[in-house]
Amino acid sequence: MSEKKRLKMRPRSGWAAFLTLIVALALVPFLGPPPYVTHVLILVLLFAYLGTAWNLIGGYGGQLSLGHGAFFGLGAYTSTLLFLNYGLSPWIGMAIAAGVGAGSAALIGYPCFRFGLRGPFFALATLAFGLIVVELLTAFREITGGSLGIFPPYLGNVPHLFQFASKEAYYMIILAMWALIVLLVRAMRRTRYYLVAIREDEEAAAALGVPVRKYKLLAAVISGALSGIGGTFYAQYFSYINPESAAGLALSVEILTVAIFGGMYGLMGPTLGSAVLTPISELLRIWLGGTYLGVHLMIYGLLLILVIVFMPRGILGKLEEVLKRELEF
Amino acid sequence: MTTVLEGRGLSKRFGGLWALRGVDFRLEEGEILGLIGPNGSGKTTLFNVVTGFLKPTEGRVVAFGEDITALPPYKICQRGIARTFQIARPFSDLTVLDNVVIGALLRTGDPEEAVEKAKNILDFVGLYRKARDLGKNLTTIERKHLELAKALSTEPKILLLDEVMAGLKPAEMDAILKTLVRIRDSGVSEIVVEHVMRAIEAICDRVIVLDYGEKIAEGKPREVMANGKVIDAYLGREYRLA
Repeated sequence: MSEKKRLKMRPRSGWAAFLTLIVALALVPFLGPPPYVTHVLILVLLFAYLGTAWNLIGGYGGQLSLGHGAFFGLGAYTSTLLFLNYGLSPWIGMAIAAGVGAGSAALIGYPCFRFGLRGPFFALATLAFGLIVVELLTAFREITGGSLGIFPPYLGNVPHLFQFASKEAYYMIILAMWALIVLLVRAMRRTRYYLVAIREDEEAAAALGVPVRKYKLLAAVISGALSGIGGTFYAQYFSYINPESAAGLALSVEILTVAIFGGMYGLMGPTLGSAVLTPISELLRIWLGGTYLGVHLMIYGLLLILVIVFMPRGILGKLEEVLKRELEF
Repeated sequence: MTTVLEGRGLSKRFGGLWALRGVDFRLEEGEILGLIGPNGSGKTTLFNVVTGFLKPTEGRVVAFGEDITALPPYKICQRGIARTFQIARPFSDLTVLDNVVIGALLRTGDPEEAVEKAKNILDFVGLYRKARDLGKNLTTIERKHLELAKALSTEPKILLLDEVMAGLKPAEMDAILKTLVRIRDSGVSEIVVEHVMRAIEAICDRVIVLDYGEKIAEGKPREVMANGKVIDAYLGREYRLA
């Protein structure tokens, strides 16, 4: 009588694959990779982390933010300035950076959602917000060092001040941050369902009892907080920040690019996107950046166009299509 | 009998046009109330006003004894009033199952439980074999069933159905009529907007008729259909017999 039996349960193998991946990545430093490889892996994980943070509001929620560089940059400046001016450990600064990221996301998100700015209008509002933040960071030069940026002093290996002599230490930290953000987003199952419903049709979602505005704001605030945390890591790892590199439009675009390229409708999409794009972008820059200025950006752009034309759901979407199964876990 | 939903003097004006004008209605517990009227008579507007998608220009909506006029749609849904849309609105890039899970999450925070509940509801409306299909790949009829499944997933006490039978063949209509009666028998009161008179006659306890935004008749289906004003509204005065 009932046809219920026929539906198969969602495959569980993804969970084991994720754990295996984390263990494998954690073992990489023990193989003694050349520093440059470690550096690229750190960047891969950083952009996987940022793309996953962006994906909450941008992918699941469908609110295309062009301003995530601002949340990231404000986080980077917050912990760095607190350390330089008040000697506050960047580990604590990181928590405050999360608050600043959350607060600035609420500042731009609340009016947008309150007055129903959607689609291209939300993208433009966040774009403008990002540009304003860069201008402000540049203008208040007495505090921020202006367009020259800030070089925090190198103190050697001081773990409690978030400074390490080896790249491997930073690698392990960003690996942990990435693993935690994936697990966090994975745990937010109801929120993800609601965000996807909002992305698909706000009114139909409201008719099913989804508090649309509240969930959009929640996603923006969490996404902003996580981006701010990423900013602190970036400032500590590079020991140099300036408004363009830490908060600029190029950064915002790079974050959303890894998410869209990898597949913004899935948990692991941004990670896949970063795993493919970040090394390509780094290698192209090294091979071509010196001799043919700008050529690496052209090739990068071409790749993006091809992916968006032929795989609108990103690499993850294409993989799912080919394998005929969902790659969720 | 207790009144579960009540409209008091509901009016809605769009510019110079009164889409609703002074409409009073009551929905009693365990009843199926038919809402009929020619195209443009204000049926969907009434649904939109009751479910918070439109604010009435005048009048109040009272549900379970409380004024819900100023509440946003999601809060009205949380209070146990669910609706379907006349033009089905599936979440088109989601599977049929996930479409229903989203509604089921209103009453449980546990996704596994919501999935189980969604499966039961899909089974109930006969969409189970489509659970893995994407919303956008459904036929018109399947979309109507999905609308019903989504509304049911929020565990409503009151269900507002906007033309769930339009375009169905007689056999399909009988199936959905049976479903609506089963839903009513499970303790849900319903308001049904429908053009198909046979359907209205078969399941409605009472009917109200709108014309140009005003209520022109109310009563048992057969009485209302014999009412001169109703015949005029549908067919025009010249068709009136004797």
